Amino acid sequence: MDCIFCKIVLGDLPSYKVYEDSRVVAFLDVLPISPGHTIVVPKDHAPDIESVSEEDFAALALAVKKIGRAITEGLGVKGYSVLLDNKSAANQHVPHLHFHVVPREEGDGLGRWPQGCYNEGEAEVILKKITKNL
Amino acid sequence: MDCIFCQIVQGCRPAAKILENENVLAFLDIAPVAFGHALVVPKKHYARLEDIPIDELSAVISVVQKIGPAVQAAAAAAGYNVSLNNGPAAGQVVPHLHFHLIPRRTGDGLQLWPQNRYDEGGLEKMAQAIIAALG
Repeated sequence: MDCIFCKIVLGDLPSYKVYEDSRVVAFLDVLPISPGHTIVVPKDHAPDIESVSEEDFAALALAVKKIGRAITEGLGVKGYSVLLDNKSAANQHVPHLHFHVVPREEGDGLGRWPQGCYNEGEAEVILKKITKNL
Repeated sequence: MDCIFCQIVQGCRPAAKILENENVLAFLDIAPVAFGHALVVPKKHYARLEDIPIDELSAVISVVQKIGPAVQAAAAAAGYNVSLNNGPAAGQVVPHLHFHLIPRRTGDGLQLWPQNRYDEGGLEKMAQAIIAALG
């Protein structure tokens, strides 16, 4: 088993675990974007959103909600960002699906990606392609 | 009603709707980070994750899972990011809870946030603080 998150789930690799339930484990990222940056993973190995079960994905979201509240109240931060990178093109470095919960403060310097706009007709084109794939 | 997402849900403001069910609406972001950038919102108004009941959060995340592959395919992308900014301090601009799905391509230039390190003992203290707050 090469998956570092599976090893953490099994206790074969040490981690700073903050939460566990029947489907989910959460632990601190040792290279945090901000103090308290937590990784939330399903216990059952799934590389991406396409493979994770609906039940596990829902359990992850509920765990994120609990951990987010704990981070806000426990660390006194005003907010947090929730991030999931799906596939390596989206910067997924560990191929075991995981949410990041990143504590945030005003003026923390964590920027937003630049936003663009659609020219006339472009939104309709992509919308048709999305709904065709549903 | 000032909330622009509630206006979209109610049909008072136009949007390119991707999928709609009893509890959730998905539509295109009109200011996309990448073409196909989609938003998924609960139809009821909740500002933050703290406010949404767990059954409605489950419904929202189910739609994220359903439309993600379709958004990726439509955008001819190789992956996508799912993100939610909780609170203005986190960059939440519209105070109606929403997940972003952003199509990604290798080398698209979208930068990661930088990583840092804890001081000695910092990890233990941090873990204890979060565990205590979880109760």
